[in-house]
Amino acid sequence: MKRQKHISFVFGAWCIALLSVLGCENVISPLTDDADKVFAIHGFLDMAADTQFVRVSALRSAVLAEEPGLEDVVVQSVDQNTLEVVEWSDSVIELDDGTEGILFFGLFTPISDRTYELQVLKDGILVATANTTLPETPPYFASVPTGDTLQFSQSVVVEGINGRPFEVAVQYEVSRPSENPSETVSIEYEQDGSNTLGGWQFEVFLKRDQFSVLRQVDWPILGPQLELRRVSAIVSLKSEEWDNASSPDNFENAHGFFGSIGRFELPWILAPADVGKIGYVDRQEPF
Amino acid sequence: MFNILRPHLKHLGTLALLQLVLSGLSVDAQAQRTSLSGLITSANSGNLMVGATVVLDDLSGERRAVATGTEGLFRFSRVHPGEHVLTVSFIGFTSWVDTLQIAPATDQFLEIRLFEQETELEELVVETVRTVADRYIAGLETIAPSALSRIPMPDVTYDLAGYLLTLPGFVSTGDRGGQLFVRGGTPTQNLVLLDGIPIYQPFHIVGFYSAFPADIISYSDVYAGGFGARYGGRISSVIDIISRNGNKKKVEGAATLAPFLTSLRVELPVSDDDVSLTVSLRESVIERVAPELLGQELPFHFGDLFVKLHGFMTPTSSISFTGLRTFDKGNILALESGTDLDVRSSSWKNQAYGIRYLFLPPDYPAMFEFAAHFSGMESEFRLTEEEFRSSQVQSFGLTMQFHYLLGDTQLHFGIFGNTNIFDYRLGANQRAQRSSVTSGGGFADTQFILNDVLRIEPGIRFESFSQGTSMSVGPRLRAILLPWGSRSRHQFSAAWGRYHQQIIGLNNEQDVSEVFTIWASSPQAQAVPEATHVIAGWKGRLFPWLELSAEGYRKWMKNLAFPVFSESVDGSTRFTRVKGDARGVDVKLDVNLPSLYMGASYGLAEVTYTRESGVGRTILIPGVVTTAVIQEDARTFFPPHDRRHQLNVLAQYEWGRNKLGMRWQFGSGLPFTKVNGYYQSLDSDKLTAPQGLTQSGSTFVSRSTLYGERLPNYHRFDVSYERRFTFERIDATLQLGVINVLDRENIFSYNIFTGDRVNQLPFIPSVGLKIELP
Repeated sequence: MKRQKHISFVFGAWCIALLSVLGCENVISPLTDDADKVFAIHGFLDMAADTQFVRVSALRSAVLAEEPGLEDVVVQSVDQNTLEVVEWSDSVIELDDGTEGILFFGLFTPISDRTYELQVLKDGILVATANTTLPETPPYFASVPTGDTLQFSQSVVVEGINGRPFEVAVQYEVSRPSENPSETVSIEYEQDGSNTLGGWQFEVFLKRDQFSVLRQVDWPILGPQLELRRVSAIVSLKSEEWDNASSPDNFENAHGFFGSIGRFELPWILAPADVGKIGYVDRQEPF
Repeated sequence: MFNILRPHLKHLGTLALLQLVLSGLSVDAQAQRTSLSGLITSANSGNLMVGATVVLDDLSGERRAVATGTEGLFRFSRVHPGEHVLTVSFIGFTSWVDTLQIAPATDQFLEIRLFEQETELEELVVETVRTVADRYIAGLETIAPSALSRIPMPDVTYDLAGYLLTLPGFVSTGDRGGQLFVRGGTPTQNLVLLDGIPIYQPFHIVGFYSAFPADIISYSDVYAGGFGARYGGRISSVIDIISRNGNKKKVEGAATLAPFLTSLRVELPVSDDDVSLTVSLRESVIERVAPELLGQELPFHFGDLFVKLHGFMTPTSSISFTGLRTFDKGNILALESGTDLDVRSSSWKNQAYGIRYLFLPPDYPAMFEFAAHFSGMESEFRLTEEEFRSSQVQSFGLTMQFHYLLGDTQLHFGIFGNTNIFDYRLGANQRAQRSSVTSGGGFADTQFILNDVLRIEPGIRFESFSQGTSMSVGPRLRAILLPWGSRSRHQFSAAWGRYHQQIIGLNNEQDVSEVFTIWASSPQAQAVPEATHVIAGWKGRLFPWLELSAEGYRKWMKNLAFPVFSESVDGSTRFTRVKGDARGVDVKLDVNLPSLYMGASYGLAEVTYTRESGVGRTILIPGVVTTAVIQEDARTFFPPHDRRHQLNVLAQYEWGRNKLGMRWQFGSGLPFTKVNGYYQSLDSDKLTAPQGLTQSGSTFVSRSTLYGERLPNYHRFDVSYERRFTFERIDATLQLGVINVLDRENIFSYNIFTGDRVNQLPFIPSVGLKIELP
């Protein structure tokens, strides 16, 4: 019995000691301390534009909280090849839901196959980055045209891409007989095309396009023939960030989407006989 | 030579009746054909005496001992003809001693009835023949119903769930939701059996309760890992519950009334001495009482119904039918009073039925067991009145087992077949998904007693499936070392095994409030979840009243499904495959004095998950279980059930008719992921023109390091006091208790989107009354 009391005493003392020492901290702080150094960035660089736009926002502390302002925040881009820095300007825009957002714009035209890093600085310190590499000019070739009348067409193969480009058009530069100024007619191609080994190909319907060109330059079908100066495919390629938009890996301390679009003109020379078969006068020049 | 029934014989399907104690002496032909077997029952109730010690002494001084199995049967084979003294003892009963003349080449069968002792339990001195419970087997904890009564509960009944949470390595994410993580494994990796019938969701929505009240339990074998070849289909743990057979002599029953739960249990003889019926019914009342008693809503409604019919067809064969139905419904978050049970409510129902036939051939040291079962579960998670997810699983199974004792070698083998049918919907507008898988296989467990010191138990299990994966083969091995023979105070044991799980449960582990689980077969052509267990431990009786054990373990798991964090606030759950590594040490201390029990257990554990490569495979996307590829960074993290430190302290003091019990639990904080903040994410498909920058977007969350932080520590102190009153025809027990005496605000859930914090159960006083027809 004596031993039992002794054990009970030791046990009780042990419990009290444990209770007093352990488990006092009981608060939870769900937000990190560095939340103000993380940003949402959305936008893309476009080779076809001389002004680039991104939307930058600070994180909110609650789902329904108002978006904090961007005081002391600077956005700039760095060309990783030349290390040229472009500082972007900010502007307030009205969003579709009537609220306001902050848009930054940078005055430059990105160049293909170059990597650009978008940097967000807060109080002069670099806190978040996003980068993108513009697509490079894809290799391509055009096959010999085949077919008759409206089916007179040729295949164009764009190599090194996986699937249909984001935008595809065929561009014809034509001029009226005995006139030097030329007009450019662009015809959107929305066909799916087909994947080939190492690339993607689509069919250019040369004769059918000619009717569209005549209509657009307002030239009579039965009139004198237009002169064909140049034919090319206009291909827009998205950067690889679009393929991985749901889980991007090109951000540091940032979320959202940052990519780039490359716009490429891919010209080729048609044989004079084929030009005549389409119904143009051949005035193509080497490029 | 002194020997007893090895504990795991029990696990081999009431095997205790077969145990032939292995003498090691040369056996003559007559002895080989001479055996002694018997049935032990209570003279007072007619109940089968499970675990009674049966000792056979012959005149040469050789002593052999066994314990009765779940059917109250024992058996000695290879008995030398001649005079023997047979002693049968059981705590609380007067020992039965008789001198027997055993004739050559006979198989003698005895029916023995033990009478309850008049004396108080604590005054009993039982002969120190080591009993089954004394044996230490790596990974195994055998739980007797009496142990369950040490756990303070908010009512006057006891339950297996309360006890399990005092075991080191058993982690619950909270006192609601009914989720139990065992040594790094997840709830759907636990195999829970009631009389051999798998129960899919065996724990009630309030963490104190399982579908198994103490009154219906004969014993439970709980394997935290390293389980033998008899068990399969799950990769983490096994909880094998054998229910009581009921009183075959007289009507017995009990009724309880308490703020949490009311219950009724009746046992009645259907046919005197031969057939008994047990019915147990429980239903919660806390959801009705809580607003007035506690001043807050506890919208949890649950209950269970257990029925067992057991009968002896002959003295050496029995048949039983077991049925169980459970239901649970509640809003686990229960944020405020007046909570609508049809919003964010979880509900599930189990129904399980099984039949089991046991036959002991009179002339052979063997036993045959046939079992068939049906088990099903329906669950639903209702987000709003209109939107819900539902899942249903049904399984049908047949098992045949054979147990042979061949001298120093014991062989247990069996064949089985299962068909599982799955059916789930992931939204009101989603199409129902139905599938099924059939499997068949076999297992063999052997036991080699090399000498008095070392026993090894190799086993193997194989299972082949109608779809989804190739045949799985799971080898098992266990060793038991008694350095100083059978009377050794120190015991060592180790276990190793490989486990496979073709039927998987998919649950959003990242949201503790969402217990909804989809059961499905592993997707075609993908490796199934697999685990390798290694366990090694020691148990020592340092003093007659003090026992200490320590066990180290490691579980390597692979092909586990783990949810991918959705950045979108309302994103659906997708899963990728991860590897798991659980390791730890469990230490347990037990002090057993005549009127005082004290126990302490400590578990040190670390669980890590590793997502291997940058590309993860989705095995579930909304509406369909399939394979797809998603981009995920490779990373290693602590999953949300990684409780690093766990400490449980129990004490129970009895004096006269009074009993005072207390429990203190401590658990270090569980991992969670901090948030950087929220932002509007724009649709990248619309970002091909500057106009796309004006879209308002969807709300996304920016998370910090995956599970890089820990929630506050958990601790709770419970106390209960009981006093027993005896009247002429009934016994009554009055219970007073307090759950969470310190009113500790233990966090259960924190909604990162709304900032709402939900705590676990508050200070809950309780009073309960139990009336028993003894």
